[in-house]
Amino acid sequence: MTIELLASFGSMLQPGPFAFIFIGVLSGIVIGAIPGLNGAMLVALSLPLTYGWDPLNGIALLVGQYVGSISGGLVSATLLNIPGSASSMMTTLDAAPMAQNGRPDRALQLGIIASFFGGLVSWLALVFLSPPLAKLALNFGPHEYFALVLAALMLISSLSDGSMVKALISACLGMFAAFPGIDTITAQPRLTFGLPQMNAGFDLLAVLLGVFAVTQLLDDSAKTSKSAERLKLGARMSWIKLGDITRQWFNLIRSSLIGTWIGILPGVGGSVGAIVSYVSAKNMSKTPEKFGTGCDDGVIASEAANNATVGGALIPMITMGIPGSIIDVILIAALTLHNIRPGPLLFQNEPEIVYGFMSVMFIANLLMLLLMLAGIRFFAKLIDVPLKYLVPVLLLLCVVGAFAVNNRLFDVWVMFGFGVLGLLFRAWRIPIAPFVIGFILTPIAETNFRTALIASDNSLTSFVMRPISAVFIVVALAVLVLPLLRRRRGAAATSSATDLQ
Amino acid sequence: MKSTAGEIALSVACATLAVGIYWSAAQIPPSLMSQISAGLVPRVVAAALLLLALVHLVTVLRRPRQVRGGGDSGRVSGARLPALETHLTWLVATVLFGFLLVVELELLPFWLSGFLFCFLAILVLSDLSLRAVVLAAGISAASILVTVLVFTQVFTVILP
Repeated sequence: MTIELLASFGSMLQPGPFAFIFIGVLSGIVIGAIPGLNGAMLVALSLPLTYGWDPLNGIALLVGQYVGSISGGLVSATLLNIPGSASSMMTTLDAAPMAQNGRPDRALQLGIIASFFGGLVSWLALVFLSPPLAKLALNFGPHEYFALVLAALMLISSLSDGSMVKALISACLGMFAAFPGIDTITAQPRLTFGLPQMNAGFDLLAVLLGVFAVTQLLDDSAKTSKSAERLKLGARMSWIKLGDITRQWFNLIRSSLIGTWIGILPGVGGSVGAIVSYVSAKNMSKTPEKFGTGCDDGVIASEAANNATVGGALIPMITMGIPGSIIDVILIAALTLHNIRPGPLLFQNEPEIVYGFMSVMFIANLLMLLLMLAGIRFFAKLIDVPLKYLVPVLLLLCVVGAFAVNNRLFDVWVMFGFGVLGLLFRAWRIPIAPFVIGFILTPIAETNFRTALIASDNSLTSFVMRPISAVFIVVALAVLVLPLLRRRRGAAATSSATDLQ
Repeated sequence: MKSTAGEIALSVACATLAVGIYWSAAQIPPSLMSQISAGLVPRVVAAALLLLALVHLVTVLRRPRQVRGGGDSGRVSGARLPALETHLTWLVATVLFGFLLVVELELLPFWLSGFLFCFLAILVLSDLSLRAVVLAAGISAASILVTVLVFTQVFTVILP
């Protein structure tokens, strides 16, 4: 493994791929720093560009953007008290007060270094956990794969914000979006409503551009008139000391590990990682009252964890084809565009792709650290970029991008339709993550489900007779039932308390 | 839109969609090549969605009146539609729809319709003034020029 990884580093440090990583990280930081725009939108928007490229160059650009966008959110969280991305939500709690207390440089530097550290820990997890997990996943047959996808969908639905029923509705709607087209097993047209364009189903890229980019940009249209007061950096930059970082070693390691673990869970991204890490840091702190007033611990806990989710999220994606975050869904789409299917066989069939992910992630993290430390002043100015000019231009790029892959306008209409659907999801407060994960995993789940049934003479009990499959089904059921039981117990406790009163 | 009305509309829309998909999937004839019909999984998912829509409807209707009126407590969050309260989102969506319609019907060349889309969308999002018009025209011209050049010359895409 070491030799392959070193060889991958060697090829990724060649001028071509390195330039793609550099552009990716830089564009990611820029988009992450602008409030309203986010990494998922950028990665979806860049996806059509990578279509004709070497897959490794595409990975270099997209993973660079992923790492950069998670880190870039720190800038507006600190100087504007508005998280540039959802993953920087918790950073605002301490970075913004620290900046308001006259120490914006310190908040930004602590955040950048914590981000790098978080990324580094999750990179180590990616390198050392992926091969054994992939080996384990090689034992999976159709029963296990179907059960795994079912468990992943249940898990993402239970971990989504708000109502679990709405999250499950979202997952079902995502599955519906994946059904139309020619059936892969029987070759029959299904839910195509007589439209020949529907024979290939909804184009993956058009759907992703719609729900990530178009929805976000249309939603941002409403925010273009609002302007917030931003803090300016001082004329001279004051640098933090090494002791400020070494004093936080335990917080850094704990937060990075939490972020990595949260990242591994399907569909759960940086925002949840940052929340769990921040709350843990506060609960374990000797001075919890300082949290929220501009303390170092809060900035570090949030930023280390949100960046650590990136590497964590790549682990299930590479080893099992299950996206760890919504940006991973787009990365899967990028691989699919190049006829590469993520999963355990990736280690055998396309090892250069696996090690490419690993080396790109490390280089992107290092570049993020250097670029952000060197360019703090430049990135701080980005938050003044008016969205009223960016939104129409980016929408135009979405239209051209959706058209470019298959050269047909039908895909542009699909993108528009799913963009509007995304707006309705936001209006109804339906989480989008179960939708996109349902959409991307349904073909795998359905094919495996039907293959498993054919192989076991239509016996549903075969799913519970095989141990690994049974474990996943138990997990799926537990994830579905436990919140209901907890809720019922909570309601019972409330009613007995009311009776006592 | 009232909170409860929005939530009921969601349940009804999901239930209708589920019934429609179930019916459509049930029309798929059994295949000679496989014992399991291509409509099996869509029917299962449609049934699940119908069940979820009913659970959601019951949950909304069982909520206390004061919570239903607009509160956001409980497991079912109220649909206050923060994004939809602002008309700009839907105005830009309409301009985008118009742009796609013009491209679909081939009423104008792509570069011109793209320019007009950017120009109109920027104007919709700006305060109307001579400066805003000039800026909108400049940015739109530059954007469409760069987009067309990059996609046709670098990525060799044949634009509509």
